[in-house]
Amino acid sequence: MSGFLEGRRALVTGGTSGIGASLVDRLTADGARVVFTGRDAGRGKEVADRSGATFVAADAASEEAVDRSVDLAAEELGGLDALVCVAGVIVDGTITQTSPGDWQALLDVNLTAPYLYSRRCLPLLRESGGGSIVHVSSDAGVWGEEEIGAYSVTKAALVTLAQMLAVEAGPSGIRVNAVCPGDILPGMLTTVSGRERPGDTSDWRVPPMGRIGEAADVAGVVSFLLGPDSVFVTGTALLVDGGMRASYRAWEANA
Amino acid sequence: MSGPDGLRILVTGGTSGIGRGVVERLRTDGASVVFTGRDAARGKDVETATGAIFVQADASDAAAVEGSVARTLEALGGLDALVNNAGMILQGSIESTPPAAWRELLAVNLTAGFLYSRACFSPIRDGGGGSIVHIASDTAIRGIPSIAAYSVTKAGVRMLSDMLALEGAPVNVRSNAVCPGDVAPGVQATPAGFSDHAEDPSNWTLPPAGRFGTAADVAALVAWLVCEEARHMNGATIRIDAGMGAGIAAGTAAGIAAD
Repeated sequence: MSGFLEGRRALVTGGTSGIGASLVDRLTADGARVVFTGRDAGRGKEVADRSGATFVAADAASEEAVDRSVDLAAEELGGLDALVCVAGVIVDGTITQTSPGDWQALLDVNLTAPYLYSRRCLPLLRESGGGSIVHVSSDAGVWGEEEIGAYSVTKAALVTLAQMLAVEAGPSGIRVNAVCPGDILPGMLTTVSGRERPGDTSDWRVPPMGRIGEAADVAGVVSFLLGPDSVFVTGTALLVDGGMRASYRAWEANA
Repeated sequence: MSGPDGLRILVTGGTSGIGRGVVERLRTDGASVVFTGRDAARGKDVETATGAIFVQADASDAAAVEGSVARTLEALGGLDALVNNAGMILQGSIESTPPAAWRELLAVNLTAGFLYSRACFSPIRDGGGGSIVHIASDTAIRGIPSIAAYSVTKAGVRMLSDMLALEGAPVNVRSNAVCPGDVAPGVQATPAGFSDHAEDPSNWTLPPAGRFGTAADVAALVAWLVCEEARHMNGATIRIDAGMGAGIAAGTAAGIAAD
């Protein structure tokens, strides 16, 4: 697959861990030139050193940092062909257990940041004659999960954001898709209040494919959505969940 | 109990449009109703016309949300249902939506619904159960690009309703999302700096049934959803759009006409 994305210039948000870090590895391996953002300079340097991508410290919750990181990416890469919004936060709890402060933080990072990044990047993609945007949503944005209620709300809205962008940017040759991963290891470890260690995952339900997903499974799909084989794919919400949301009772396949 | 007679209900954004229609209908059916809104004069009008109690509150103000729920509980002595109706709209694409307007749309259409649901959930549960009805939109099911940011917020409302439905099911609190198509008069409020959504319905595309919806059409559905008779309705997303969303031709026509 080397060269699949040769010469493509991509900005990845939230690239210092989990799906985002795996994606930076994958896109650079595919030949893309990548700038990625994150909050943790130490982890940023690690990913930059091993992948050859460029790290820009930026908190997705800050509008100023969003604008600055887009400008820096465009300068570093000499333009932009792709944007992948991975940065996200999660909060455990039902709707009524979610504090107003956590709710707002979830909205800011999971929904408003992708809006701000998209809006800032669209003119750059147009200058390049087109491009591709991928928003990493969640299977919980398609069918929600009560125990991550507020997170599910932000991810559902994010799917519609991707679809609206797909419609309005289509005439400019810009594609916009949402990717909706199921349970992934290592996955979302970033909460509103900080980072957590992975908890006990032994009770996770296993999807029909017989295993929990890996970050690389998602990175491969995103790479496809940025590349030449997906030129007619836009406005989709692509589940990458091992079949878990194909049925009310998909986990019974391996029960 | 059949019908809303005797139920204690809070309706947000009840001074105009669908909200006003819901207040009128619930009062006619015998419910005790408190409604909120920003405009005191319109609030007084609806109060006088219906006998419902007006509590002035801006849905984008978290303190006002808390305060209006407290006053509702005081006035009604408890709560059986919440109708999350307050909302605003903005014409335009995602790219043409400025950050301040984006944030205000989120605050009123989505966060206010969260705050009201959160504040009302326990009182409804503790009173033996009841229901929450969210006035979402047909755009919650499929977005309309000419009201793009609005569509994003309404997709969130739909999922909010689903999540509350799961959480409330074991304690007899139901939550459903009502998704109206074009309704005249519909939502008029807009973010600061934008003029009212005074869209002329004569430019809209008629649904297959040949007429636009009215507030009373939507209110009739809401009046049923809050009743004991609708006890098996939970986590439902209900289009009320005369068929506009039933197939792509009608939906596409609606999107184009609104441009």
